[in-house]
Amino acid sequence: MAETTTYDVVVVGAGHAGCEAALAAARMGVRTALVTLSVDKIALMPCNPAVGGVGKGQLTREIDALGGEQGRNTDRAFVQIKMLNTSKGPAVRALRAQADKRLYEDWMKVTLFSTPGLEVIQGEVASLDVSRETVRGLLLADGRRVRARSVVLAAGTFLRGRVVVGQRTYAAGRVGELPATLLSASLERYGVELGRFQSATPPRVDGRTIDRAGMILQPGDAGSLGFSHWERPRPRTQLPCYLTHTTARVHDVVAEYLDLSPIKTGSVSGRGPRYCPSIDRKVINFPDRDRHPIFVEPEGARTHEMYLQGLTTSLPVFVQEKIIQATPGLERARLVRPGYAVEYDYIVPQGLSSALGVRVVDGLYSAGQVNGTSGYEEAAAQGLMAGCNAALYALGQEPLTLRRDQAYIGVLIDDLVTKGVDEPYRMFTSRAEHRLLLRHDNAAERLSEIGHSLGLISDEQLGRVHAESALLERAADLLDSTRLRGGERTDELLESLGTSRLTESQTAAQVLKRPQVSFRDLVQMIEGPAAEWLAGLPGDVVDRLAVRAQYDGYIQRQLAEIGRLKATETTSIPDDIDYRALEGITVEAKDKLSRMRPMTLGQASRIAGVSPADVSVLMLYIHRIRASQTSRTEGGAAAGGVRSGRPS
Amino acid sequence: MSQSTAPRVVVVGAGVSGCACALAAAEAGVSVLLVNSALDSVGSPAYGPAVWTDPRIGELEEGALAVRPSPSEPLETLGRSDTHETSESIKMPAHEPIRPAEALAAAAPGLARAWSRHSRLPADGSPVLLVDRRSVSLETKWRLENEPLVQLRQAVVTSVTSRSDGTVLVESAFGEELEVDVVVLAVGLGLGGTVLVGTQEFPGGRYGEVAADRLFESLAAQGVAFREKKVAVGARLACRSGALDLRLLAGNGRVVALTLYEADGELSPNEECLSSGDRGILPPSPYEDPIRRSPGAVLVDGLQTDGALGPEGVWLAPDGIVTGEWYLDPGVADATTRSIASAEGWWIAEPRHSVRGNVIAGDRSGGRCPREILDGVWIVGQAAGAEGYLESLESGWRLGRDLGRLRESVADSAPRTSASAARGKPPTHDSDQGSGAGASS
Repeated sequence: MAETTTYDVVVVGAGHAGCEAALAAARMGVRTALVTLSVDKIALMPCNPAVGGVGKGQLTREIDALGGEQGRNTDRAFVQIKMLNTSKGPAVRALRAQADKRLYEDWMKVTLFSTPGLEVIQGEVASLDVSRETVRGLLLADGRRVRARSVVLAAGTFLRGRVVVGQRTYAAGRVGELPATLLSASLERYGVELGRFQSATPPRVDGRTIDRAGMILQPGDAGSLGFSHWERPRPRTQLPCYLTHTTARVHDVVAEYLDLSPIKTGSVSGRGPRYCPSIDRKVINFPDRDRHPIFVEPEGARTHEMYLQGLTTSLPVFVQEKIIQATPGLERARLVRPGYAVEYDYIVPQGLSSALGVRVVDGLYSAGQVNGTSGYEEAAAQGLMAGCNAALYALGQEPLTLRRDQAYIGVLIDDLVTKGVDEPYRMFTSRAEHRLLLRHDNAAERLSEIGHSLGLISDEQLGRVHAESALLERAADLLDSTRLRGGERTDELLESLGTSRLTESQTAAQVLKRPQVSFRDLVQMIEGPAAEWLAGLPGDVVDRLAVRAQYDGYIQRQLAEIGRLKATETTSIPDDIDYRALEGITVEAKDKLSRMRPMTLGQASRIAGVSPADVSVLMLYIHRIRASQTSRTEGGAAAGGVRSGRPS
Repeated sequence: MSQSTAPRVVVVGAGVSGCACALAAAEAGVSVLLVNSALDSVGSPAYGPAVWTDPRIGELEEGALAVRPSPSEPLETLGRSDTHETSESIKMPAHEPIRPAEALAAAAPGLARAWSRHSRLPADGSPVLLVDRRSVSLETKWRLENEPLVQLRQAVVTSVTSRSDGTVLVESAFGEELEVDVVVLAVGLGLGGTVLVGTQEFPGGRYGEVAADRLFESLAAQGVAFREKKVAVGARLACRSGALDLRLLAGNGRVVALTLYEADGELSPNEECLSSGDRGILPPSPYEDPIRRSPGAVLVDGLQTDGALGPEGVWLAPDGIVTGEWYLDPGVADATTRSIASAEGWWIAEPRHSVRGNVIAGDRSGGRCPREILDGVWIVGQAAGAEGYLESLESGWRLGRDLGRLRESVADSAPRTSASAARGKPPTHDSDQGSGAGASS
């Protein structure tokens, strides 16, 4: 079977990153292959049966706005959906869905198998085919050769994977599945630096053996919520989650057997995620807390298996069973799948460019958990970007990068390639300094044009985005131009809402700023055809109007700040700069800058160990160099990106 | 799990024979722990979507898989019905008649409820059930989860040790230990299994699943004798435009003649397939889309290529009705496969490969019967020498039914030492109507 097939882009791994990468490339019109260890294990959710949440939901929404698949796929497969943080500001509002795992897989596989220009192939990669530091394709372990102009690695946790429980371990990428044993060596041969991480998953129990009476019901939201901008989800009956807590007794059990935890015994050598810690780690790190929340989540509509979020562990199975029995509501819960840890190689992300390209090999890209992240959303976001860029490379075009003020995806990738990772990286809203601008409600406005220019968003879809924005502008203008005066009806309504009467006339927009006044309330205060028109606006537009009204001031300030920073952000650093010759910056900064060789001041400022003071020195130095260059040329204006202070 | 509350019977391997065994045992009132290395792969037919039905079973009723024996045939077992003594260490119980129709429907609930169609092959007119393996797996797992006497559990069993006190110790890769009375090994070709693809060999009982290497060693160390067996698995093609559009296949310039054998009567899914019990309205599934249903089998009987093409032509059996996957017979040469896949929109998704594993040594002619290979340790299905889906199914089902009797005889005898003697005896047959199998459970 020593045959050779040729494609433009090949993606390795059919997890969340791989699926997005393959779909993006194929939809951009390049011949794409997706190589997977098993064509029957596509888009698995090996851990939490959920998509979205705070920070992550924004990623999924952005993926959808750009023309990726995760949002739409989740909308088909969810058994529960809800908007989080509705009582808090719009910057932290996010969708979260519980997914039926099997349906999620089914839908993704159908989509992959019906996308023109895409072929899904079963096989294991034995090595990369690289010559003159450029990727030529892959060699499969069974002898087949695959030629390609660019390759996206999305191997997840499979690189030299080992599952670990207590002191026991066996080679696997996931429980019951063989790992990828050959690719790591090939990567190392070409100078790709690898690290070792571990990630764990909690036990699953039989839902019929749970005592729900003592737990708090966590239902989904009514209405027709969905991630996708383009399709309405079909109605369905939502399944609830249940909330319980660990107790001191549970912690005692953990503490009693902590010596058997792989964290303690060292049988796990990789670093684990701090923000999705195992119950072992929680007990170690938070000895004063006497309860941790445990969410009991359904794994699907037609299974009784329930996922125990909060009880992630790789303690021995008999200890897991004791922990479960000691937890309120789970006293009689039957263990169906034990929790376990998986240890795996990851690609050190500082070796990647902002386009997620592997620096030491041209045409090679990398996305997903294999880059040291955790989570399906983080993986899918990288997959989409790496897939686009692999396709752009194959087409001979410039890569796409997203800025930190443009998208959470931009924050994610910039964090990875600039700061690196000590533990599996998870997205939070706090990581995004511009989160007020990067909201669930404005993802399409920010990103759909980009998706359209790539060919992932159709004219019709973009048309809809523009139409909604136009509607929003009209509505905003109307609110700005409609004046409200104090009067019996208006004042009565205002007082009944708990806010003050109108002492002078104000615009409707100003009144909407009051947190007690909802859009519907406002419409009641307006008279004439304007009110009717406003009342007929679609819900999405109403949400965005309300956000705009309430946060406009903050948003404008943030935009101005971004404008000021942009100048520094994009100020480029000369390629030949010798950091060691700089005076006034710390030794550590010199060292880090020399190693990382950032291309802009913005990137330099985000390197751990480089302080704002160091950046100032660097900035002055660059200005001096530029100034001396221009004084050497005749009559030239100042060149380079000097700060302009203009808001964008 | 708590030793005191755990079932005393463990079935290792939730493939075709393991699931049948567990369901039959549950029906006989025996509580069973059914273990698989990965619970997402429960109940799937191993090598291809074709379930060749036995002509003696009778007509397949339209609209449901209600298989009834044809009135003129006497009740008969599906396989051979002799009892064999092959060697002193391997004894087989006598067969007892079971209603084949009811066994099929009850033992393989996934088939009864899965999306499938059937065709009749022209050669001998025997009915062929073509199943969507994914939905067979999903339906079987759901059925097992809802069976109160079956406990599903994910574990990789690494050793099974028959002990002198009549119990059997089961150990897992994660260090779990359980003492039981009976272990049923339904591990297919997993014992020391190897997958061979092209120039590559790697461990596995099926492509993509771990092998039961340590279990194999533990059995061999206790004196169990094995022989090697190799099964060839055909390639899987995929057709992007969906299973229905075969015109692309016909128009690729290499294929000169192909015949579509329409299904005989459509099998609509059992209502329970789409309903949820108490779960209300389910999220949408790609299986609901009627466009995605596949036709029957396709025969490519003229090919313009130097690839070997036997007089029977090449059969394509629909393997995944929503994904447009097609399964080829393993005997098809690679060059032929490539020719067919060169049609626009077609490609080779899974390569042709073989699986080599270890099955019980001994007289092959009786290989389908479940056997006790060590005290308290039984083996069924392919691992016991069964050939093909129905034989595997039958052997698992048969043992599951017999476990009821084994348990009774164990319970009746008080001292432990006589338990193993009781176990060694073949079960007694009272007049057996084959009842309880429940045709349409």
